Amino acid sequence: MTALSRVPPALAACIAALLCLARPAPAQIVIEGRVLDDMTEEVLAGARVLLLNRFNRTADYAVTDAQGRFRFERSRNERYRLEVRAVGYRETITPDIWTGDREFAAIEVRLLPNAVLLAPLEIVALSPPRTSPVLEAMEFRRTRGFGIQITREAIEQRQPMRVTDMLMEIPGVYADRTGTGASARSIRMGRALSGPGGGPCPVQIFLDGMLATRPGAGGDVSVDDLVSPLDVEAIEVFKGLGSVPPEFLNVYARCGVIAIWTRRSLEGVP
Amino acid sequence: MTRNRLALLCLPILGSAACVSNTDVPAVSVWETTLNAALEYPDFGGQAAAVSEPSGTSVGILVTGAEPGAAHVWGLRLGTCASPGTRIGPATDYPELAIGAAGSAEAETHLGSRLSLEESYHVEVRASATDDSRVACGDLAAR
Repeated sequence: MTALSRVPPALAACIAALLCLARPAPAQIVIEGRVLDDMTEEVLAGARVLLLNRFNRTADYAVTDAQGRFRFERSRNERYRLEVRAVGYRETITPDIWTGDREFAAIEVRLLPNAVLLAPLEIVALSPPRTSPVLEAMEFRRTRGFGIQITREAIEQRQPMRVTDMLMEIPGVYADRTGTGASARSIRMGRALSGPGGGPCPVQIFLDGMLATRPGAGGDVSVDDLVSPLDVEAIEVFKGLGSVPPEFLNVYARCGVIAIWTRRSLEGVP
Repeated sequence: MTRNRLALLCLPILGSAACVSNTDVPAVSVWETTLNAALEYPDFGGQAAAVSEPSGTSVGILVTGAEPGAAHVWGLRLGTCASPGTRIGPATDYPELAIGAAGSAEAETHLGSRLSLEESYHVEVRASATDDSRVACGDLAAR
Protein backbone atom coordinates (compact mmCIF):
# COMPACT_ATOMS: atom_id res chain seq x y z
CA MET A 1 0.00 0.00 0.00
CA THR A 2 1.25 3.47 -0.82
CA ALA A 3 0.58 6.77 0.80
CA LEU A 4 -2.31 8.98 -0.10
CA SER A 5 -1.38 11.86 -2.31
CA ARG A 6 -3.53 14.93 -2.13
CA VAL A 7 -4.30 16.90 -5.30
CA PRO A 8 -3.96 20.70 -4.99
CA PRO A 9 -7.19 22.39 -3.96
CA ALA A 10 -7.47 24.24 -7.24
CA LEU A 11 -8.00 20.91 -8.90
CA ALA A 12 -10.28 19.74 -6.17
CA ALA A 13 -9.20 16.18 -6.65
CA CYS A 14 -7.88 13.69 -4.26
CA ILE A 15 -5.88 10.61 -4.97
CA ALA A 16 -6.86 8.46 -2.03
CA ALA A 17 -4.56 5.51 -2.16
CA LEU A 18 -2.40 3.32 -4.24
CA LEU A 19 -2.96 -0.25 -3.23
CA CYS A 20 -1.44 -3.46 -4.36
CA LEU A 21 -4.30 -5.89 -3.85
CA ALA A 22 -5.55 -7.57 -6.99
CA ARG A 23 -3.59 -9.72 -9.39
CA PRO A 24 -4.53 -8.70 -12.95
CA ALA A 25 -2.89 -9.78 -16.22
CA PRO A 26 0.92 -9.65 -16.23
CA ALA A 27 2.47 -6.21 -16.56
CA GLN A 28 -0.95 -4.59 -16.13
CA ILE A 29 -2.18 -2.21 -13.48
CA VAL A 30 -5.80 -1.85 -12.48
CA ILE A 31 -6.71 1.76 -11.86
CA GLU A 32 -9.96 1.92 -9.96
CA GLY A 33 -11.63 4.81 -8.31
CA ARG A 34 -14.66 6.89 -7.71
CA VAL A 35 -15.74 10.47 -8.29
CA LEU A 36 -17.23 12.51 -5.45
CA ASP A 37 -18.77 15.89 -4.89
CA ASP A 38 -16.11 17.70 -2.84
CA MET A 39 -18.71 19.57 -0.82
CA THR A 40 -21.32 16.96 -0.04
CA GLU A 41 -19.22 13.79 -0.46
CA GLU A 42 -21.94 12.38 -2.66
CA VAL A 43 -20.83 10.02 -5.38
CA LEU A 44 -21.20 11.33 -8.95
CA ALA A 45 -22.69 8.93 -11.46
CA GLY A 46 -22.26 9.61 -15.18
CA ALA A 47 -19.03 11.58 -14.79
CA ARG A 48 -16.68 11.22 -17.76
CA VAL A 49 -13.20 10.06 -16.85
CA LEU A 50 -10.39 10.31 -19.40
CA LEU A 51 -7.13 8.50 -18.74
CA LEU A 52 -4.36 10.63 -20.23
CA ASN A 53 -0.93 9.20 -21.01
CA ARG A 54 2.37 10.98 -20.58
CA PHE A 55 1.87 12.64 -23.96
CA ASN A 56 -1.41 14.07 -22.66
CA ARG A 57 -3.36 11.93 -25.09
CA THR A 58 -6.45 9.93 -24.17
CA ALA A 59 -5.40 6.38 -23.45
CA ASP A 60 -8.77 5.21 -22.17
CA TYR A 61 -12.22 6.46 -21.31
CA ALA A 62 -14.88 5.57 -18.79
CA VAL A 63 -18.16 6.83 -17.40
CA THR A 64 -18.80 6.41 -13.70
CA ASP A 65 -21.51 4.01 -12.65
CA ALA A 66 -24.30 4.56 -10.13
CA GLN A 67 -21.74 4.31 -7.30
CA GLY A 68 -19.51 6.86 -8.99
CA ARG A 69 -16.94 4.20 -9.82
CA PHE A 70 -14.65 3.80 -12.82
CA ARG A 71 -11.97 1.27 -13.75
CA PHE A 72 -9.09 1.02 -16.20
CA GLU A 73 -6.56 -1.70 -16.94
CA ARG A 74 -3.35 -0.35 -18.38
CA SER A 75 0.33 -1.12 -18.77
CA ARG A 76 2.53 -0.70 -15.71
CA ASN A 77 5.52 1.62 -15.41
CA GLU A 78 3.63 4.42 -17.07
CA ARG A 79 2.68 7.93 -16.05
CA TYR A 80 -1.04 8.73 -16.22
CA ARG A 81 -3.36 11.58 -15.35
CA LEU A 82 -7.11 11.61 -15.04
CA GLU A 83 -9.28 14.28 -16.58
CA VAL A 84 -12.73 14.21 -14.99
CA ARG A 85 -15.82 16.08 -16.13
CA ALA A 86 -19.37 16.15 -14.82
CA VAL A 87 -22.27 18.45 -15.52
CA GLY A 88 -22.42 21.18 -12.90
CA TYR A 89 -18.84 20.64 -11.74
CA ARG A 90 -15.50 22.14 -12.62
CA GLU A 91 -13.35 20.04 -14.89
CA THR A 92 -10.50 18.50 -12.98
CA ILE A 93 -7.16 17.07 -14.05
CA THR A 94 -5.19 15.12 -11.50
CA PRO A 95 -1.43 15.34 -11.14
CA ASP A 96 0.69 12.60 -12.66
CA ILE A 97 0.18 9.13 -11.29
CA TRP A 98 3.31 7.04 -11.64
CA THR A 99 2.25 3.42 -11.61
CA GLY A 100 5.66 1.89 -11.19
CA ASP A 101 5.44 -1.87 -10.91
CA ARG A 102 2.24 -1.82 -8.89
CA GLU A 103 -0.71 -4.00 -9.74
CA PHE A 104 -3.49 -1.86 -8.35
CA ALA A 105 -4.23 1.77 -7.75
CA ALA A 106 -7.29 3.22 -6.00
CA ILE A 107 -8.01 6.82 -6.77
CA GLU A 108 -10.61 9.20 -5.43
CA VAL A 109 -11.37 12.31 -7.42
CA ARG A 110 -13.33 15.16 -5.88
CA LEU A 111 -15.03 17.74 -8.02
CA LEU A 112 -15.96 21.24 -6.98
CA PRO A 113 -19.49 22.29 -7.87
CA ASN A 114 -19.69 24.87 -10.60
CA ALA A 115 -22.86 26.93 -10.48
CA VAL A 116 -24.52 26.81 -13.87
CA LEU A 117 -27.74 28.62 -14.52
CA LEU A 118 -29.96 26.47 -16.65
CA ALA A 119 -33.24 27.62 -18.02
CA PRO A 120 -36.09 25.19 -17.58
CA LEU A 121 -35.70 22.68 -20.39
CA GLU A 122 -38.62 21.31 -22.27
CA ILE A 123 -38.26 19.11 -25.34
CA VAL A 124 -41.08 19.99 -27.69
CA ALA A 125 -40.05 17.96 -30.73
CA LEU A 126 -37.56 15.30 -31.66
CA SER A 127 -36.63 14.33 -35.18
CA PRO A 128 -36.51 10.61 -35.85
CA PRO A 129 -33.01 9.15 -35.65
CA ARG A 130 -31.27 9.25 -39.00
CA THR A 131 -30.49 5.85 -40.38
CA SER A 132 -29.43 4.59 -43.73
CA PRO A 133 -32.24 4.15 -46.28
CA VAL A 134 -30.35 1.07 -47.43
CA LEU A 135 -30.46 -0.49 -43.99
CA GLU A 136 -34.05 0.56 -43.46
CA ALA A 137 -35.11 -1.11 -46.70
CA MET A 138 -33.14 -4.20 -45.78
CA GLU A 139 -34.75 -4.35 -42.35
CA PHE A 140 -38.16 -3.97 -43.97
CA ARG A 141 -37.44 -6.95 -46.21
CA ARG A 142 -35.94 -9.00 -43.38
CA THR A 143 -38.95 -8.56 -41.14
CA ARG A 144 -41.26 -9.62 -43.95
CA GLY A 145 -39.32 -12.71 -44.94
CA PHE A 146 -37.90 -11.40 -48.19
CA GLY A 147 -34.59 -13.15 -48.76
CA ILE A 148 -31.73 -13.93 -46.42
CA GLN A 149 -29.74 -11.08 -44.87
CA ILE A 150 -26.11 -11.20 -43.78
CA THR A 151 -25.29 -8.24 -41.54
CA ARG A 152 -21.97 -6.55 -40.82
CA GLU A 153 -22.14 -8.05 -37.34
CA ALA A 154 -22.36 -11.57 -38.78
CA ILE A 155 -19.48 -10.84 -41.13
CA GLU A 156 -17.30 -9.65 -38.26
CA GLN A 157 -18.16 -12.74 -36.24
CA ARG A 158 -17.39 -15.06 -39.12
CA GLN A 159 -14.39 -13.09 -40.44
CA PRO A 160 -14.39 -14.76 -43.86
CA MET A 161 -11.44 -14.53 -46.22
CA ARG A 162 -13.78 -13.99 -49.15
CA VAL A 163 -17.40 -13.00 -49.60
CA THR A 164 -18.14 -16.31 -51.28
CA ASP A 165 -17.06 -18.12 -48.10
CA MET A 166 -20.14 -16.71 -46.38
CA LEU A 167 -22.47 -17.10 -49.33
CA MET A 168 -21.66 -20.80 -49.64
CA GLU A 169 -22.87 -21.38 -46.08
CA ILE A 170 -26.42 -20.56 -47.17
CA PRO A 171 -28.36 -23.70 -48.15
CA GLY A 172 -28.85 -23.88 -51.90
CA VAL A 173 -25.98 -21.54 -52.67
CA TYR A 174 -22.74 -22.92 -54.06
CA ALA A 175 -19.74 -21.75 -56.03
CA ASP A 176 -18.31 -22.84 -59.34
CA ARG A 177 -14.63 -22.52 -59.95
CA THR A 178 -14.28 -20.43 -63.08
CA GLY A 179 -10.52 -20.17 -63.35
CA THR A 180 -7.26 -20.89 -61.64
CA GLY A 181 -7.06 -17.95 -59.27
CA ALA A 182 -8.05 -18.20 -55.63
CA SER A 183 -10.92 -15.81 -56.18
CA ALA A 184 -12.09 -17.25 -59.50
CA ARG A 185 -15.41 -18.50 -58.19
CA SER A 186 -18.85 -17.64 -59.43
CA ILE A 187 -21.98 -18.17 -57.38
CA ARG A 188 -24.80 -20.52 -58.36
CA MET A 189 -28.08 -21.25 -56.66
CA GLY A 190 -30.01 -24.47 -56.63
CA ARG A 191 -33.32 -23.91 -58.33
CA ALA A 192 -36.63 -25.31 -57.18
CA LEU A 193 -38.35 -24.94 -60.54
CA SER A 194 -40.14 -28.02 -61.76
CA GLY A 195 -39.35 -27.34 -65.41
CA PRO A 196 -36.26 -26.27 -67.31
CA GLY A 197 -36.66 -22.75 -65.99
CA GLY A 198 -35.60 -21.17 -69.25
CA GLY A 199 -32.11 -22.62 -69.23
CA PRO A 200 -29.01 -21.56 -67.37
CA CYS A 201 -28.36 -17.96 -66.45
CA PRO A 202 -26.01 -16.22 -64.05
CA VAL A 203 -26.95 -15.22 -60.53
CA GLN A 204 -27.63 -11.52 -60.63
CA ILE A 205 -25.13 -9.66 -58.47
CA PHE A 206 -26.00 -6.11 -57.47
CA LEU A 207 -23.29 -3.96 -55.89
CA ASP A 208 -24.73 -0.95 -54.07
CA GLY A 209 -27.86 -1.27 -56.17
CA MET A 210 -26.04 -1.43 -59.52
CA LEU A 211 -26.13 -4.63 -61.55
CA ALA A 212 -22.62 -6.03 -61.86
CA THR A 213 -23.50 -9.23 -63.70
CA ARG A 214 -23.28 -9.05 -67.47
CA PRO A 215 -26.44 -10.04 -69.35
CA GLY A 216 -26.98 -13.58 -70.54
CA ALA A 217 -25.35 -16.92 -69.94
CA GLY A 218 -21.65 -16.60 -69.17
CA GLY A 219 -22.13 -13.15 -67.73
CA ASP A 220 -21.05 -14.24 -64.28
CA VAL A 221 -18.81 -12.02 -62.28
CA SER A 222 -16.58 -13.15 -59.46
CA VAL A 223 -18.03 -11.69 -56.28
CA ASP A 224 -14.63 -11.90 -54.64
CA ASP A 225 -13.14 -9.73 -57.36
CA LEU A 226 -15.86 -7.16 -56.82
CA VAL A 227 -15.62 -6.61 -53.11
CA SER A 228 -13.76 -7.65 -49.98
CA PRO A 229 -15.55 -8.73 -46.80
CA LEU A 230 -13.89 -5.77 -45.08
CA ASP A 231 -15.88 -3.38 -47.27
CA VAL A 232 -19.25 -5.12 -46.98
CA GLU A 233 -21.96 -3.67 -44.75
CA ALA A 234 -24.65 -6.20 -45.64
CA ILE A 235 -25.56 -8.89 -48.13
CA GLU A 236 -29.02 -9.94 -49.21
CA VAL A 237 -29.66 -13.24 -50.96
CA PHE A 238 -32.89 -13.86 -52.85
CA LYS A 239 -33.10 -17.43 -54.01
CA GLY A 240 -36.65 -17.44 -55.29
CA LEU A 241 -38.24 -15.34 -58.00
CA GLY A 242 -41.13 -14.54 -55.69
CA SER A 243 -38.91 -12.94 -53.06
CA VAL A 244 -36.89 -10.71 -55.37
CA PRO A 245 -37.68 -7.04 -54.62
CA PRO A 246 -38.95 -5.12 -57.66
CA GLU A 247 -35.78 -3.02 -57.84
CA PHE A 248 -33.72 -6.17 -58.44
CA LEU A 249 -36.18 -7.93 -60.71
CA ASN A 250 -34.94 -8.65 -64.22
CA VAL A 251 -35.22 -11.43 -66.77
CA TYR A 252 -32.49 -13.47 -65.11
CA ALA A 253 -33.74 -13.00 -61.55
CA ARG A 254 -35.12 -16.56 -61.66
CA CYS A 255 -31.50 -17.72 -61.26
CA GLY A 256 -31.18 -15.85 -57.99
CA VAL A 257 -30.24 -12.36 -56.90
CA ILE A 258 -27.53 -11.23 -54.50
CA ALA A 259 -27.46 -7.61 -53.36
CA ILE A 260 -24.21 -6.51 -51.75
CA TRP A 261 -24.16 -3.22 -49.86
CA THR A 262 -20.75 -1.77 -49.14
CA ARG A 263 -19.92 0.49 -46.26
CA ARG A 264 -19.43 3.20 -48.88
CA SER A 265 -23.16 3.02 -49.64
CA LEU A 266 -23.87 4.25 -46.12
CA GLU A 267 -21.60 7.27 -46.37
CA GLY A 268 -23.27 10.52 -45.48
CA VAL A 269 -25.31 8.89 -42.76
CA PRO A 270 -24.06 9.91 -39.31
CA MET B 1 -42.26 -27.77 -88.76
CA THR B 2 -42.10 -24.49 -90.66
CA ARG B 3 -42.72 -21.43 -88.61
CA ASN B 4 -44.90 -18.71 -89.93
CA ARG B 5 -43.98 -15.61 -87.96
CA LEU B 6 -47.19 -13.84 -88.85
CA ALA B 7 -49.45 -16.67 -87.94
CA LEU B 8 -51.07 -16.97 -84.60
CA LEU B 9 -49.49 -19.44 -82.31
CA CYS B 10 -51.97 -21.20 -80.11
CA LEU B 11 -50.43 -22.66 -77.02
CA PRO B 12 -52.19 -25.76 -75.83
CA ILE B 13 -52.65 -25.14 -72.16
CA LEU B 14 -54.80 -27.27 -69.95
CA GLY B 15 -57.65 -25.29 -68.52
CA SER B 16 -57.09 -22.23 -70.64
CA ALA B 17 -56.76 -21.13 -74.23
CA ALA B 18 -54.23 -18.31 -74.28
CA CYS B 19 -53.49 -17.54 -77.89
CA VAL B 20 -50.63 -15.18 -78.58
CA SER B 21 -49.08 -13.85 -81.73
CA ASN B 22 -45.42 -14.29 -82.56
CA THR B 23 -45.32 -10.70 -83.67
CA ASP B 24 -46.42 -9.19 -80.36
CA VAL B 25 -44.42 -11.39 -78.03
CA PRO B 26 -41.06 -9.98 -77.07
CA ALA B 27 -38.26 -12.47 -76.49
CA VAL B 28 -38.55 -11.93 -72.78
CA SER B 29 -40.82 -9.94 -70.54
CA VAL B 30 -40.87 -9.36 -66.80
CA TRP B 31 -44.06 -9.03 -64.82
CA GLU B 32 -44.71 -8.20 -61.20
CA THR B 33 -47.47 -7.53 -58.74
CA THR B 34 -48.12 -6.84 -55.11
CA LEU B 35 -50.76 -9.04 -53.56
CA ASN B 36 -53.80 -7.36 -52.02
CA ALA B 37 -55.40 -9.27 -49.20
CA ALA B 38 -59.07 -10.06 -48.97
CA LEU B 39 -60.94 -8.38 -46.13
CA GLU B 40 -61.00 -11.58 -44.11
CA TYR B 41 -57.18 -11.72 -44.17
CA PRO B 42 -56.08 -8.20 -43.17
CA ASP B 43 -52.50 -9.21 -42.30
CA PHE B 44 -51.93 -11.18 -45.47
CA GLY B 45 -49.49 -9.72 -48.02
CA GLY B 46 -46.90 -10.66 -50.56
CA GLN B 47 -45.72 -10.27 -54.07
CA ALA B 48 -45.40 -12.29 -57.25
CA ALA B 49 -43.22 -12.02 -60.32
CA ALA B 50 -43.07 -13.72 -63.68
CA VAL B 51 -40.39 -13.92 -66.34
CA SER B 52 -41.70 -14.96 -69.73
CA GLU B 53 -39.18 -16.40 -72.17
CA PRO B 54 -39.34 -18.40 -75.39
CA SER B 55 -39.16 -21.62 -73.39
CA GLY B 56 -42.04 -20.67 -71.12
CA THR B 57 -42.76 -18.59 -68.06
CA SER B 58 -41.22 -18.76 -64.63
CA VAL B 59 -43.56 -17.57 -61.90
CA GLY B 60 -42.62 -16.97 -58.28
CA ILE B 61 -44.69 -15.93 -55.30
CA LEU B 62 -43.95 -14.96 -51.73
CA VAL B 63 -46.68 -14.51 -49.16
CA THR B 64 -46.40 -13.03 -45.67
CA GLY B 65 -48.68 -12.49 -42.72
CA ALA B 66 -50.39 -15.83 -43.16
CA GLU B 67 -51.48 -18.21 -40.45
CA PRO B 68 -48.63 -20.59 -39.60
CA GLY B 69 -49.44 -24.13 -40.61
CA ALA B 70 -51.93 -23.14 -43.28
CA ALA B 71 -51.58 -24.47 -46.83
CA HIS B 72 -52.79 -22.08 -49.50
CA VAL B 73 -53.02 -22.72 -53.21
CA TRP B 74 -52.22 -20.17 -55.87
CA GLY B 75 -52.14 -19.74 -59.60
CA LEU B 76 -51.44 -17.46 -62.51
CA ARG B 77 -54.71 -16.65 -64.20
CA LEU B 78 -56.00 -14.83 -67.21
CA GLY B 79 -57.86 -11.57 -66.66
CA THR B 80 -57.71 -9.29 -63.68
CA CYS B 81 -58.62 -9.64 -60.03
CA ALA B 82 -61.81 -7.73 -60.78
CA SER B 83 -62.59 -9.81 -63.84
CA PRO B 84 -60.85 -13.13 -63.42
CA GLY B 85 -60.43 -15.75 -66.09
CA THR B 86 -59.17 -19.30 -66.06
CA ARG B 87 -55.99 -20.56 -64.49
CA ILE B 88 -53.01 -21.08 -66.83
CA GLY B 89 -51.99 -24.70 -66.53
CA PRO B 90 -53.28 -27.38 -64.20
CA ALA B 91 -53.36 -26.96 -60.43
CA THR B 92 -50.57 -29.48 -60.15
CA ASP B 93 -48.23 -26.99 -61.86
CA TYR B 94 -48.37 -24.81 -58.78
CA PRO B 95 -46.65 -26.01 -55.61
CA GLU B 96 -48.66 -25.43 -52.47
CA LEU B 97 -47.83 -22.49 -50.23
CA ALA B 98 -47.02 -24.23 -46.97
CA ILE B 99 -46.99 -21.43 -44.41
CA GLY B 100 -44.08 -21.64 -42.00
CA ALA B 101 -43.80 -20.58 -38.40
CA ALA B 102 -43.00 -17.01 -39.42
CA GLY B 103 -46.23 -16.78 -41.39
CA SER B 104 -44.55 -16.70 -44.78
CA ALA B 105 -44.08 -19.06 -47.68
CA GLU B 106 -42.52 -18.97 -51.11
CA ALA B 107 -43.13 -21.04 -54.23
CA GLU B 108 -42.12 -21.12 -57.86
CA THR B 109 -43.21 -22.86 -61.00
CA HIS B 110 -42.31 -22.97 -64.65
CA LEU B 111 -45.16 -22.96 -67.15
CA GLY B 112 -44.83 -24.10 -70.72
CA SER B 113 -46.60 -21.05 -72.12
CA ARG B 114 -45.46 -17.51 -72.79
CA LEU B 115 -47.26 -14.39 -71.65
CA SER B 116 -48.63 -11.91 -74.14
CA LEU B 117 -48.43 -8.18 -73.57
CA GLU B 118 -51.91 -7.94 -75.05
CA GLU B 119 -53.41 -10.11 -72.35
CA SER B 120 -54.15 -9.37 -68.71
CA TYR B 121 -52.97 -11.74 -66.02
CA HIS B 122 -53.28 -11.91 -62.30
CA VAL B 123 -52.02 -14.08 -59.47
CA GLU B 124 -54.54 -15.35 -56.99
CA VAL B 125 -54.07 -17.07 -53.64
CA ARG B 126 -56.91 -19.22 -52.40
CA ALA B 127 -57.65 -20.58 -48.96
CA SER B 128 -56.90 -24.22 -49.74
CA ALA B 129 -57.23 -26.93 -52.34
CA THR B 130 -60.81 -27.52 -51.19
CA ASP B 131 -61.78 -23.94 -50.37
CA ASP B 132 -61.85 -21.60 -53.35
CA SER B 133 -62.34 -18.45 -51.33
CA ARG B 134 -59.87 -15.76 -52.27
CA VAL B 135 -57.16 -14.86 -49.78
CA ALA B 136 -55.20 -12.39 -51.87
CA CYS B 137 -54.88 -11.26 -55.43
CA GLY B 138 -52.66 -9.06 -57.59
CA ASP B 139 -52.83 -7.92 -61.20
CA LEU B 140 -49.57 -8.59 -63.01
CA ALA B 141 -48.04 -5.60 -64.78
CA ALA B 142 -45.35 -5.91 -67.44
CA ARG B 143 -42.30 -3.71 -67.01
